[in-house]
Amino acid sequence: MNINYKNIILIIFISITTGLLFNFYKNNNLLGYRVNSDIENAAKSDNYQDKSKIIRLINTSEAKDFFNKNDALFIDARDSWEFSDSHILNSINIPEYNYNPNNPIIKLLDKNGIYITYCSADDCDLSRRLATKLKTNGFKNVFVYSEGFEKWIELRYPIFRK
Amino acid sequence: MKFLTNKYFLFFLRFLLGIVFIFAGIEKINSPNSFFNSINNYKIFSDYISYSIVLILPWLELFIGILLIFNKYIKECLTIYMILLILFNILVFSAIIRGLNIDCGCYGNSINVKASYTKIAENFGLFFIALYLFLYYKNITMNE
Repeated sequence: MNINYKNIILIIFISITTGLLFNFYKNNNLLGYRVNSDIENAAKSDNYQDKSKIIRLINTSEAKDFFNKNDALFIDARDSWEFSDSHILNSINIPEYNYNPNNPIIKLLDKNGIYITYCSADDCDLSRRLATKLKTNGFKNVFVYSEGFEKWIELRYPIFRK
Repeated sequence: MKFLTNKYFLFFLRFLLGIVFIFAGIEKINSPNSFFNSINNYKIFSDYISYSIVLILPWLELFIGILLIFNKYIKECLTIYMILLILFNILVFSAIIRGLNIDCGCYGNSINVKASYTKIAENFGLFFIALYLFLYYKNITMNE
């Protein structure tokens, strides 16, 4: 039996239609994906529909500026055991995996303050996810320090070590 | 070598391929955002291509898995299956070469598999099973 190319195209076509339909009927899903790319493109974006969900990425020098001026609170999104081992000096720990808006620590935080979330490095997305969650809970100024703790250590900036 | 064309053995292989893809597909449909992040971590695709992959790929995997289990359009499914596996392997390999330490995003959120040579070996295993079924499809039908 030879391959019937029409069937291949048919299978792919059915997948595409189902995918699009599914996304269409699941409310706002494509926008849901957009939230992630908003994080990446926030700096240059003007015409996104939902500005409240935009989270800005900051680089090491900006993060260091905030750190020096003591303007912002650094939030470590990693596990508590990683945090207890070492973290950016004066940062607090809110593990992303069991995030709960009723957490007493989160209730203590001022919603108008400046917060910078970080995790281990460029390729971990805990900090982005935590920032999205904080943002949806009404925190106005949340930034993501995208290069992460590894870069911070590499540059020998102040850290706490056990 | 009789067992190689044994119909229960062949059924088992087909079932295995199907289950792997159905599982992968459902997991990705379940957690589109984390799948999107996994794709973005490879740092190859632009956002719009990533959206398209998130929308389409899981369903393609799911349908192929179902068709394989129900023994319909076997050759066509296996062709797509092998092409997908080769593409996945190229992606994972490129990630390893560039020294990215990332989740491969193969099974969505539930199982976190690192992009590594083990993953490539696993994909090649599936690839050769698919190739074997593809080449001996005629014998399979004769046997059944």
